Amino acid sequence: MSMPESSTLLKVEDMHVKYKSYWYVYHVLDGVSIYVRPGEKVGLIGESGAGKTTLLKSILKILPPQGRITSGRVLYKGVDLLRCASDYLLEIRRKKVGMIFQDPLAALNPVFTVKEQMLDILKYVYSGSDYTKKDLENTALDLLREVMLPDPERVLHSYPFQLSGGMRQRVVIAMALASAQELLLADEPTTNLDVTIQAQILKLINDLVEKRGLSMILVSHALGMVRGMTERVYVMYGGNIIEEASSTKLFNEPLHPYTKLLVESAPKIIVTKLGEGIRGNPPDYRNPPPGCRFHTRCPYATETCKKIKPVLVEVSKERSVACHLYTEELTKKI
Amino acid sequence: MNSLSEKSNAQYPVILKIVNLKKYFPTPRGTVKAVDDISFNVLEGETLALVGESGSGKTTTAHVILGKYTATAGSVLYKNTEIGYMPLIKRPLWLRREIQIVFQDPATSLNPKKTVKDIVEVAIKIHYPKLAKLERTRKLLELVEYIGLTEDYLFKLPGELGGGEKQLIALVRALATDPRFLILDEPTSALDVSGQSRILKTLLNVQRDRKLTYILITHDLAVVRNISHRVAVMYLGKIVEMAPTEELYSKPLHPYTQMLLSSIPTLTEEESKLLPKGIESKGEIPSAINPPPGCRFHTRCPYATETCKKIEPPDINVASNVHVVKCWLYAEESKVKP
Amino acid sequence: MVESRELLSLFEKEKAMKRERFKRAWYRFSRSKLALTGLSILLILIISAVFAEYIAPYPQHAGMYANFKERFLPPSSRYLLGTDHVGRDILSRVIFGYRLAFLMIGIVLSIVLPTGTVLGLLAGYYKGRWIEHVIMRLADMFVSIPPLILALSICAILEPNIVNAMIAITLMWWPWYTRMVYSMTAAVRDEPYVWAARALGMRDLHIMFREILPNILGPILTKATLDAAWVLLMGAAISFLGLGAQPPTPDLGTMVSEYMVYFPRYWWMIIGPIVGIAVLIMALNLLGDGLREVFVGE
Repeated sequence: MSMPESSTLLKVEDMHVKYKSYWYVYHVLDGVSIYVRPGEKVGLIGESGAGKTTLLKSILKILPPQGRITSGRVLYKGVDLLRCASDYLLEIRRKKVGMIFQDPLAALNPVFTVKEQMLDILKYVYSGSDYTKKDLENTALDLLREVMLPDPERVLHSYPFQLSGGMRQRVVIAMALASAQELLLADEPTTNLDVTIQAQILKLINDLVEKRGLSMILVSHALGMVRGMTERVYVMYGGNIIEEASSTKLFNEPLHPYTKLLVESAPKIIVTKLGEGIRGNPPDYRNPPPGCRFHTRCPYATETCKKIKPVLVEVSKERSVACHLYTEELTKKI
Repeated sequence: MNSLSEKSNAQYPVILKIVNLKKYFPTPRGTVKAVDDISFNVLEGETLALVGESGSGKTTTAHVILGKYTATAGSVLYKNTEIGYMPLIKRPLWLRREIQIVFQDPATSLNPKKTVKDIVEVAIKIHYPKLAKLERTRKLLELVEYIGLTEDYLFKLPGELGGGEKQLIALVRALATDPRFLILDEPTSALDVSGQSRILKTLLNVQRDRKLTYILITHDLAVVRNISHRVAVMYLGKIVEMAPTEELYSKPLHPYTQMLLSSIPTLTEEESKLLPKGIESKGEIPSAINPPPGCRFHTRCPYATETCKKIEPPDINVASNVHVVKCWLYAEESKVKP
Repeated sequence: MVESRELLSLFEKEKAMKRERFKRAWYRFSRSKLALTGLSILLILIISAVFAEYIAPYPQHAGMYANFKERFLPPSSRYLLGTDHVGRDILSRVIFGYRLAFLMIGIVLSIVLPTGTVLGLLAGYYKGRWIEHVIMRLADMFVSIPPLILALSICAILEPNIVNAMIAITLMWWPWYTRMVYSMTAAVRDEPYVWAARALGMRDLHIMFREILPNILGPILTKATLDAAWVLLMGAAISFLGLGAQPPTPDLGTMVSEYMVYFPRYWWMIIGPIVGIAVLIMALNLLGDGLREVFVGE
């Protein structure tokens, strides 16, 4: 990327991540690079298993024990989070970057009240200041009000199981916002929610992100949601970024065969021919296909695709694709 | 008599008839009125979609049809036989052969310890006990290949299959008994986009080839658009609107239907143009134990009037019995008085 | 149309797949050295028990035998574990003691496992119906009596011998099994795949044994292995108190009680049976852990 480092908030460079289990090694992330500018809303789409959540967790270095970052840098305002002092990383996690996790039931501890969990977080957000416990409580209430929870007092003193799905998710968002003063990582923030509640929550997130001038990375496999909420989108497949474009361009004129198939297959509310779906299955990370990881399922695969892995190449302003179909022309020119 | 051939060969234009169905669940906190007086017919060969969010009662309705629950009141007539009070275990074999189900979560709808072959073979064994093993295997292989999978899938365990494939196997199992009526319980909710289109396409092909009737339970309005002929929108145990699919999407009448449609995140420009403007999602679904009086939607409806808050609207026919709405807004036109 | 030839090759493939899966399960088990150790020790002990007559240096010492000239001899090359108060070789007696121990474990397990499992399946599947109540309250009754006291009472009422000891242990042990199987069955019975089986028209018994049981088998087998150790201890305790095997039967527990009085003067005597019991228990526990690994990994 030809982006000067000072104008990006977050820059992930060539991230490689493996998962080690008892007797297999899963090569999940295979050289992923993304960037986010201050105040920018970026989407990350791909099917489940593509590595999106792994990427988010690598940014904050919160991978499970079997996950190993084998190479790469995560530059947050110029500082590599993977190699900085652990105090610095803690500061980032506590005060600068917040994450909304996928499953609110799993993100909230069932044996503590909302108040206890929020205070836990706010303690660190405001560490170093002279906030008393009462101040923290009030801040928590303010946050709950900001996410438009009716009767914040009651919610504050409830246990997660006493709240509805939509309310739990709003609590999770409030908690993420507490520690997100600069960047918000949202991992499938509305799965399992009703469609009408989902619309409200997405609007809420959007409003809050704009109000606070946050940057956001929104991860989802719901294409429509990403289109509505982001300015620029990355498409991931098999642990690689295979396309990058502005959200309008990406969904209107997708370049990569995978993106094309994805957009075509999504059931739509207008009458069109139902997409064929993408035949085959996501790659087996224990033994990923050589060359382009998508070639086994690609209708346009050539011999080159089976041998050489395509690199992400800029084909026009802020549009990149990792596909031999597009880059072969370029290399021919060179 | 209920002989197998009689029931299957006779013509039943209305294959399923639900009349004033109610299903209540007594709980310590009060009675949950999951389904509260709904009526509809399903014609043979069509796909009727029951659309709604959590608490709407659509899943409960499907489970009553299946026999997992028995009705509290009203009737469920399948081919003119009352099945609403017949729990699944007490149903005759012919009925169990004809009504089958595809469940929502592919991960738990297949026995994790059984291979694909075992899972499907059992269905054939029960309903075609006279077939020899060789014939059974042939039949099952033919089914699997018809769905679009190959013979090496036979010996895989569910854990070795992708979500979309598992759902296809669940469909094969349901088809193995040669059913007439399929309950599709959120068949695409747990799938990725590519898995969704694959199973939807397969469902359409199978319906065309075998003249099956589907009742589709879902909250995904895009899926509904693609495979259903008629749609019934449910809210808190009531059907609030019912119409042929195209009519519902081009002229959604009930405010809740409009709210649902406007909440869908769309993927293309064309779709965005189609959505109703001017109505935004508001509020949460109230509890089914103490539903709001009058029209149950009034707490979230931007057009609610005093009448709405007190008296439940009747079913109003708009456009000659084809499009039905349960909303006071349309009472004037049809000259219905509260 | 599918050719018959092709169908036959399918059956071959099926067999091949099953063999493959078994190999993988074995691989998982064999990764744990401890489990392998447990299994090996257990096998050695079982072989010793089966071929006790050939392995024990003085097989006749296991029965009625007395040689007062050789009593209280410490461990030596002739008597590896020494001799007891009657002049019998302790090692030989321990080996025959294993035979008795395995017999007891085997018989008790083969009664309790099927009965407990079937009762648990019935109770869990028909949850809410009368059969569940009957079975579980019956189980509760037995569970509420302290185990050893129940065993002792039975043995005191009936003649104290090894058969009655086994009866006592069986009666005491079955409810734990039933409870475990009951809770697992109740958890699984409402899973969608079970409903799908009902929708297909499968009969209840068929569902219990072909759909539910394979999914709960893992913990059952693991528990069985670990419980075998417990059965052994119970039996030893009963015999120790004089209510099980009577002398001169070479039961490990009886031996402990017989030799205990000679401690600490003739300290080697009691080491024989105690170590014997300990080794068997350890082997069973290691095996149980290994089994757990196999089933968790699936």
